[in-house]
Amino acid sequence: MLTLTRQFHFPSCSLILQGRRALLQGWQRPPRSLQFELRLAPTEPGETELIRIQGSAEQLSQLQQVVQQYLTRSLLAPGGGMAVPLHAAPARVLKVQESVTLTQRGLLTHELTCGPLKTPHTQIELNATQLFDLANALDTYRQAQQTQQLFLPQPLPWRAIAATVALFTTVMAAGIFYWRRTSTPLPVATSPAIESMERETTPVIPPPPVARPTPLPTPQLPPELAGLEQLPVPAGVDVPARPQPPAHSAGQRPVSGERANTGENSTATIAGAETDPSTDAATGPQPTPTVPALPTLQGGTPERASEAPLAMGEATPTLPTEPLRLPASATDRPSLPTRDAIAQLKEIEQYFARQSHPTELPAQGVVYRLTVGRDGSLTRLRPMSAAAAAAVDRVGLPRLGAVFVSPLATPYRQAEVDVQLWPNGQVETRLESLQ
Amino acid sequence: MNGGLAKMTTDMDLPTPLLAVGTDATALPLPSEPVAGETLTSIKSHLDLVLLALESLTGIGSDGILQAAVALDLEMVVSDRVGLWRLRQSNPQRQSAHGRKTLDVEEARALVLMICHLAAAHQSLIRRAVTLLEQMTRQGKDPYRAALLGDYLDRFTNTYHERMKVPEHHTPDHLTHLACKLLVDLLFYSVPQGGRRLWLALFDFSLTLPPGNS
Repeated sequence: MLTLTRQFHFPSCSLILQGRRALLQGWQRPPRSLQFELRLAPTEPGETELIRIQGSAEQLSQLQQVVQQYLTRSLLAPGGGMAVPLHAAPARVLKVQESVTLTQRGLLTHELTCGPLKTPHTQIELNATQLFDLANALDTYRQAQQTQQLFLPQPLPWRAIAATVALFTTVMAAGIFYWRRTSTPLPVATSPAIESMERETTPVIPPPPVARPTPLPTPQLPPELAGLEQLPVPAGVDVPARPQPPAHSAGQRPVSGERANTGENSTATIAGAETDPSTDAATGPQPTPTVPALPTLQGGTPERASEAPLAMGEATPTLPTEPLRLPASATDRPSLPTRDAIAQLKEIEQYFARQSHPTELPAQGVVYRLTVGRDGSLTRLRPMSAAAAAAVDRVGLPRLGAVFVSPLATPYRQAEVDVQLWPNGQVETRLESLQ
Repeated sequence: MNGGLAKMTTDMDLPTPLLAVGTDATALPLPSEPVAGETLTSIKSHLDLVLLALESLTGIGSDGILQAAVALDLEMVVSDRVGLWRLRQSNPQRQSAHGRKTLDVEEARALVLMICHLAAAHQSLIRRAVTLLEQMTRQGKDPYRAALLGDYLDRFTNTYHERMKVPEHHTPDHLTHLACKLLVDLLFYSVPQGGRRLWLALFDFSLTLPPGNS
C-alpha cells in the first residue's frame, strides 16, 4: 500500500489530504480511506497553536458544500451582510451540533460549528480572510477531485534510475575486471604492453644460477672386451637395480642469493654443497668441479660466461656469468665481524692481561663467553666448561653490568666474545657473534 | 433549463441559444427558474456597486475596465465607453438611470467576468485592505484612521453621492458599511473561482440549480 499525500497551502489555511492506494490499483481510481486535516491559523494575535480539523473525505465534501452555500446564499448575495455589524462576538453553543454549519456573526466574523469533525474546538471563529482561504482550499480540492487530478501519477525518477543503472554497471565491470586480474595472471612474456615497457633502472638481483644436471658416466668398453659374449647371471643372484640420482642432485641444488653474495662464505657453501656425501653416494665418483673465483662486489672487471674456464660437459655447476648486482640496502649491510672488526676484542685482552691469573688453571685453559652490550658493559657471562665455572671467581672477570670496554660501534647492539685464559697468563679472544 | 430562462424576458434580454453564454457554459450556469423582478434589480445594482468599489479602491477608470474587456475578448459586448456607460446605467439606483432599463444575460456575464478579472489583478491590494479592516475592527478603531481604508471609503462615498440616488434614510455609516461589505465581496471574487461565486450569488443559484450542478 502506498500512502499518498496532497497538500494545499494558503496564507491562513492548509488542507492536507492523505489516502492509501494499492500497488496494483490504477491511478485513475480514487484512493481508499481518504482523510483530511485542516490547519487554520489562530484568530487571536497572541495564540500560536494551529487549529486542526480532521475528518474523512465525505466530511470534507460536506464542509465544502456548506462553505459554498454560505458564500453564495448569505455573504455574497446582493444585499446580504448589510444587516449585520462589522464584528460581533460568536454565540456560545450550549449543546453539540450534529452537523457542520457556518453562521454569520458579523461582516468580518463567521462562526464554524464543527459538528462531527475531529477537532478540540466545537466552534471556530473565522474572520473574512480565514474564510476566504478556507473556501479557496475547499474549492481547489473540489476542482482537483472533479478533474481526477487529486493524486496525479508520480513521474518516474528517470534521472535517479539512470544514475543507479550506470553506477551498478560500473561497479559490476570493475568487479569483473578485478576478478579476472586476480584469478588469471597476465602473460608477462607475451604481453606486448609489458614488452614495450622500458625496463626499470633499479638494481635487480638476478635469479640464482642453476647447475645443469650432472650426466651419468657412460664408460665405453674397449673393443677387445666388447666383442666378448656376455655371461648370463647365475641363478639365485639378484641383479641390483641401477642407482638413480636423487630428486635434486648437487647440480640442481639451488644456491641462495645470500650465499652467493658474500665472498668466503659463498665459496665455502658451494664447496660444501658439492662435497655432500649424499650427493657423492648418489652420483658416484665424479670429477671435482672447479669453481671459479666469484667476482668481487666492488670494482673489478667481471668475466663473461664465455670466458669462464667452465665446461658444461664436465658437470661443473654454472655460476653467474655477470657480477652480481646487489641493491643498495644489501651492499650497505655490515660484513661479518672479524677479529679486527671491533676494537673491543683488543680491549678485552688488555683487560684480562691486567688481571692476576691464578696458576692453578687447567693446562687447556678456561673459556668464558662474554656478552658485551652496546655501552661496553658485561651483560652476560657463561663459563664454557666446568673448570671455567670453578675458576669464575678467581680469574678477575668483570661484574655483570659493569662497563669494562668502550661502547660498540653504532650499528651493533651486542657482541659475544669467547675469552680463553691460559695458565701462563696468555689471553685469547674470539668474536662469536656481532649483532 | 432553457424553458425557465425563456421566462426571464421581463427585465433581461436573453439571447438565443441561452447556453451560449460564454466559452465555458458550465462555469457560469444559468438559473433553471425565472428570476423575479426584484432580484434582477438587485443584480444590476450589485454589479454596478461592485465596479464602483473596485474603482474606488484601485483607482481604475473606464479605460481600465475596457482593457479588461479586450483581454477577456468581450469587445463585442462592451465595445467602448458609451457601451460601458449604458451597461452601468441599467442600475436603477443611478441618478440618470432612466435612459436604459434592460441588461441581458450576456452583458451581465460580461460584467461579472470583467469584475473578477480586475479583482484578481488587484488581489493583493484587496486582501491588504480587508486585513486592515479586520485589524481596525478588532481593535475597535475607526477604519477611516487607516490611510488605505480612509481613502477608499472617502472615494466610495463621494462617488456614490455623485452617481446614485441616495435614499433619505441612508446615513454615512450605512454607506461605510456598504463599502466594507463590497470590499469583502471583492476579496472573494479575486480568485479563479470568483466568477462562479459572483454568478451564483447573483442568481442565488444554490436553491434552484438542478442536482449535480452545485
